[in-house]
Amino acid sequence: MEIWGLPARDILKYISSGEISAIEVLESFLGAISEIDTEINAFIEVLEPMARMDASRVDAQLREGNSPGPLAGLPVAIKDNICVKGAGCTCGSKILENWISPYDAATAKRLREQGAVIIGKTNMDEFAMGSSTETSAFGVTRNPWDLERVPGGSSGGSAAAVAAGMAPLALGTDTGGSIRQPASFTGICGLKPTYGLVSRFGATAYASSLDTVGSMAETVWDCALLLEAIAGHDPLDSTSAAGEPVAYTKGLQGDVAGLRVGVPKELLEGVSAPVKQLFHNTLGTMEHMGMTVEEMSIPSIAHAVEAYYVVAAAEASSNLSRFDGVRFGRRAAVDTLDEMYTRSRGEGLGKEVIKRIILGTFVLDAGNIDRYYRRAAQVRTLIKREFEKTFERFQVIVSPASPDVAFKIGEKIHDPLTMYLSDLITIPVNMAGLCALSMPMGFVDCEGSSLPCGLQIIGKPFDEQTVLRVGHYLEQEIGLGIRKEVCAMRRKLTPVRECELVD
Amino acid sequence: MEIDVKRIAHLARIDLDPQDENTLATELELILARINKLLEVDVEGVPPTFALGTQMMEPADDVPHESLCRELVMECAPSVHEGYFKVPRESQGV
Repeated sequence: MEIWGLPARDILKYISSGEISAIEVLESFLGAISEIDTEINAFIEVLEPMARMDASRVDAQLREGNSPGPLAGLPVAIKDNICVKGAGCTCGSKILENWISPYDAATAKRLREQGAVIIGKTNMDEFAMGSSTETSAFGVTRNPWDLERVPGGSSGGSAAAVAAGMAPLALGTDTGGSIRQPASFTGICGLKPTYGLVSRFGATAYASSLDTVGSMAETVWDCALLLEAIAGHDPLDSTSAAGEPVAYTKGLQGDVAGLRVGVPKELLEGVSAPVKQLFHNTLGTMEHMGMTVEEMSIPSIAHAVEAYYVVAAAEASSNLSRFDGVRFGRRAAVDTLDEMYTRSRGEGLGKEVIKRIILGTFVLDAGNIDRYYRRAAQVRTLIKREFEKTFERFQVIVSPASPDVAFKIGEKIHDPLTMYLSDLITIPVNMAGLCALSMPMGFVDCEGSSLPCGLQIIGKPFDEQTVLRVGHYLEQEIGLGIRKEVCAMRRKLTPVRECELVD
Repeated sequence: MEIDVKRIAHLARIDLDPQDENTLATELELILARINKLLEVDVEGVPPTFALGTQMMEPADDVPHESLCRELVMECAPSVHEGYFKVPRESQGV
């Protein structure tokens, strides 16, 4: 039996029934990585020895009759801006190329404590600044559905790893859509949790008031399982919310009939015709399931992108000041202190990162701070208020997860404004601190390729349960068709291996 | 409003070569033109949101907890001397 490429839920069943060991599961995925990842480049580092030790420990616990935890033996890929003790954490940047993390991020620690096996660190846009994984200093990641196309970003490595079957679960980070857009481009599920639900301790800060760590997986159930494992208060993150743990997988079964679903017309502007068609078909399915769908308006969304790029750049310019060659990372070989700062940063940071630091420094400059930064924060209040009002009438808000399917490598990298505007649909969720799931809703034929396309389901703060439940129900309707396409795609990537089709 | 890239790069302590300065200036002008749309929004009397979820934060217990060990932290540094981070002199010849 081939294990690689199976959803986490099925792997867990095989491990708990004793049909297969954690080390056999790991070897199956490591084999897939060695065959597939030369073409995809999803991983910056595969943690073979560490993962083998973790898997062996899980097997030993099982043999002794002890429970290794709810993620027993499940391989998890981790985006390379989340620290794993003893592993590199490049953030996709030359400036951290040789840095080894001396500690575990809160999320990595929780995964290990619950029996997960950390299989590797995944590629990403440098410091999570990008929507295509093309700004990584370690080469672009290719989309498994069409190797000439991007997997989205910034969590493109995690998305491609899950889509290609090289890991059943992955962690990503989402500051303006970096989990949801790559999930959409690669045909997987990605959950951006409410700000404060998952600890950011040990996740490299890009824009601290927007950053979140979330789950990526092939199915909604798997996404819920991973969220369950990483959510919860952490005293080491001062923005971590207090609250009792939620059993998200158990709550998937509740009813969805009667739910009111809002469709903001602002989130459909600029969406391509075929994606819009798929979206309307999906709305039809939701109505068939008993939900009430209504088009409505959230006017302030129209200014979300501008406000986001001011806030995110301002926070980035402050957060990334720590990369100065003093305490960690790359240092330029020069004779004076000032030169050490400027050359270490100039040589170590990539162009996109420098652009955003300069923009952030500009909007925080004494003469500009009120004109730009404070005003953007005021616009953010308007966005937040309008969403709060919207959630008085609707339980969830839906839209496509991206205006179009995956674009070609190199197509947008020299046109930053177009690239930024492609995040229009996902950014408002971060500005308002909401939760949102991206899940596959179908495929669009594009220049000879069948490319996946995602649905975004947005929920009010800390209502991940409703968002996941709606996603799970929809998956029952459309999931099997998508799984068949996924298996066909993986067979093309590695024809010698079989891909199990499960229901 | 124009961005004086050279001055801002100095504030951000980033060394740019002149060619990159020009490319960056062009790109930033485009981005700034878009960002200027914010100036059209009526925000009179609207308080700013600088952070989220502050109402849900809990103060940490006022007790010391274990931190990273000094040796481990020092191992990450590019240069150390007798347990301290070592950097070049502020200017040559001082």
